[in-house]
Amino acid sequence: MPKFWEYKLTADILCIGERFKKGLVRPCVKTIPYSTITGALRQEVLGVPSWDDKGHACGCLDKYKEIMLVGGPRDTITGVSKLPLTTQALVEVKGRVYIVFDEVTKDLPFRLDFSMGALKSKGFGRVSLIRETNEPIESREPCIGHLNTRIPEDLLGVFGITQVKKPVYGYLFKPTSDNGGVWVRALFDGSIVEGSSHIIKKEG
Amino acid sequence: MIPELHDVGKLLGLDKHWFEDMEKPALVDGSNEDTWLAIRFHGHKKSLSPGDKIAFNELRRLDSGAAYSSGIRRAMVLLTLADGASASSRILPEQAKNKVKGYFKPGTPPQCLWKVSEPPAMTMAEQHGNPSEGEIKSIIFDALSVDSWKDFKQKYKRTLSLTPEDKHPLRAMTSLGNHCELVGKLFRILDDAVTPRSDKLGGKLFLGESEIANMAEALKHWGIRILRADITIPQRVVHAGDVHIFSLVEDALRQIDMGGHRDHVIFTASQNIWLVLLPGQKDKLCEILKPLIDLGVVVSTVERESNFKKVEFPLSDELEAAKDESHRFQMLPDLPSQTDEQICELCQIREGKTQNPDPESGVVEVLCCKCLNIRKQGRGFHNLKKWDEGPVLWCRVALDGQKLPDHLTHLYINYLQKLKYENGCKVIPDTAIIEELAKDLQPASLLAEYARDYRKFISDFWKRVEEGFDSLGLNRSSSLERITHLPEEASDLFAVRLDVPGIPDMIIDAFHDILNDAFPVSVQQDDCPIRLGLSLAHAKHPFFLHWDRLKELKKTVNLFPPGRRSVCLHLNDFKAVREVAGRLGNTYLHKLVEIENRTQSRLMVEVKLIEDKKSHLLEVARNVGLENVLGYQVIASAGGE
Repeated sequence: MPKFWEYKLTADILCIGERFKKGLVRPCVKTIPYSTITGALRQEVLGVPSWDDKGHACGCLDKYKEIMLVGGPRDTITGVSKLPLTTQALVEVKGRVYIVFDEVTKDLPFRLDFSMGALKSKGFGRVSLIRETNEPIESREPCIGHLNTRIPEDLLGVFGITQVKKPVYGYLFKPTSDNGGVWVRALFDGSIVEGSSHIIKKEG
Repeated sequence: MIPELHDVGKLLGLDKHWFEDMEKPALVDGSNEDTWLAIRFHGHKKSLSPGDKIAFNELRRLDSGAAYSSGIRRAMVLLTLADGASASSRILPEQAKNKVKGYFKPGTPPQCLWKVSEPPAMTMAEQHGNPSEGEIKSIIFDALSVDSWKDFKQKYKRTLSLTPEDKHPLRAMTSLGNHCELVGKLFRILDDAVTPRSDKLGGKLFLGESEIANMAEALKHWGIRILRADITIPQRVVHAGDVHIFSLVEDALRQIDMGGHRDHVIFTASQNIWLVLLPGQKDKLCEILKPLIDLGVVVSTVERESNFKKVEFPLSDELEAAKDESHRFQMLPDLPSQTDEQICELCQIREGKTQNPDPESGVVEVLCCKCLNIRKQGRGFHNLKKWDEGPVLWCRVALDGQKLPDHLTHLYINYLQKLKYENGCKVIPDTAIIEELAKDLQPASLLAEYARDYRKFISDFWKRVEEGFDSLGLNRSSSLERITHLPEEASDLFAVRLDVPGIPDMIIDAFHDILNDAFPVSVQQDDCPIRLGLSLAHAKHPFFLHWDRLKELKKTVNLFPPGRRSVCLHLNDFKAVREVAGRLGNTYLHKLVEIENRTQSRLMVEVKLIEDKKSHLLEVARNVGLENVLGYQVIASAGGE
């Protein structure tokens, strides 16, 4: 059975961009996909490139407020914003991150601070991860419900998902080099699965 | 054969509604002989054994020596199977036979589970007592003279809807007309699949590889599949043209409902389709759902296969996921496990092949062929493109088909629990009987009847909305400028521009009143599957954010005011919220909303109520949720007061 470090996540403002976007409105994801948190973990904590296969993590959001911010990229020459862009972001974010416990991650500190998601240069996505236990947690009692994160299909077992009852598919980006990557089929939030209860959404 | 006509005898309120002893009418000829035999023998058990030579001879003797092939026995087997599977229930527990006595009077309408019982209609039988021989002959004559079930239905429409399929008080909840239609559908499905079509005397019948020699074997060994298909629209609608996908899905559902495979359709509603299939008909399923698959939407199916003794139905996703008794299947576009192509930005599941610059912003979107086609051909919703300013209310009325069988079972249990000394009969079903009956419920005909009432509900709702616009002083052309759909389209998703006060309340009133009229019992249940969702935002607010809120409506009334918590309530709770809002008054509530917006604190609202000596109302508001009252006010007052 897989073991995990459970970290409590807090962030003042977080914006993990959705793939789809209208020209003028940029929506954001309401969970923490594998690709986002794993990429950040590898680069910012483990110090390995994001295309390395060390370290796996995913996360869920428990509490947040949605806001819409209006701004626009400035023309580098004129310094004028041509178009008002509306960006959706989450504020007062609370969540949980699960990092797979293995040889690479066994000595992770109790507190991790790094940035993830979009608009990092504007101060978005500064997250604090705090671990409250000395020991990694075991996979919890399996239950059936809606998946509360996004995980590549080939890594479902790593996160304690034993059966997919009703999938919602999508693709997550997997970097393969510094400037390239592929899209891998993934199970998205809303899929009905059987697995460890920590990444399954409680109804209501 | 017109299989739907097999039960015409029930229209006369006869206990035995087949006519074993009746002489063959003179008008029976080659064209209607099968129908005559269906009316006459469908309840005659001895006629149902294809291998039984004596039964065949008896059949022949009873029919004045007329010669016909053993194919008629095949038809009788199929008709009897279809008849049993289309009934709401076939069992009557032994205890019930002793404790629950009596029959509904002939002509008493079925006890609709989602309506308060209607007074018995005056029928032929009530007006004249038991039917005379002339009346019996007349109805047989009508049945044998028509060219199609449609013609017969036209003539007896009212009586067919007011006559229960089963007269026993414990099972009298389906109309005869609806039952007959289902029998017709199922008969034709079986007729298509069962071989041989005309066998030798004593021959066996095959459904796929499964062979049977008599009725008992058919009931035990032949399977029937009831399947629910849930439609998910993967596209994230961002442009006005993209909303065309909703019209296309509606068109596809209509095409499935009316097309060549309509016999397989029990009902279609909002985003679910209920189908009946036989084992091994996987290709058939793809053919039926082709209009949807061609659109590129994701169709997930869940099905139960059972035998004809008791037809099983799949339950809602949550309940079904906990069991491993159902089969699941997803119809998806080819999804490679990995790709280095760009992924379509709208559906996120297909490869994005085309770069499509947004004329508004110049931003280039990468789209797949399906999404691009939808956008290009998209007529969009009427008026939507013109609205640049002011608030817009997106409205969705939905029937949650997934939860409907569970809901019908609850309604049935409620109905059984309430049965007491009704219709002059001593009716006291105890818990054990109720449990056994509820377990045996076959909801196909109830599903179809509920869906029919739902369609009428939607059309009445739109009529009321049209009248509502009228009462707000807007004539038809003015109202059409403020809405995305024509009332005649009876769409369940539409948007309204709010530049006149009172529109949200008018829509809520229309929903509330029509729902109470059409489903008064249903609406009292916490699991009522009919829902209203209202999402309010500025005209330029992107549609996909509305759709995120509206695609899954959890309670009967769901309001999504901008920038605050949603109000999702059962109808009775929502009524209480409106009552409190009414007592506080529009102007005062408006002030409270302003205070909350300004201070970002509900506590300040409570302080204001106490300051203004309205503590008694604060208590009432707390009971129904002060945030619900304020949320409702934001929606209700949009467009001005």
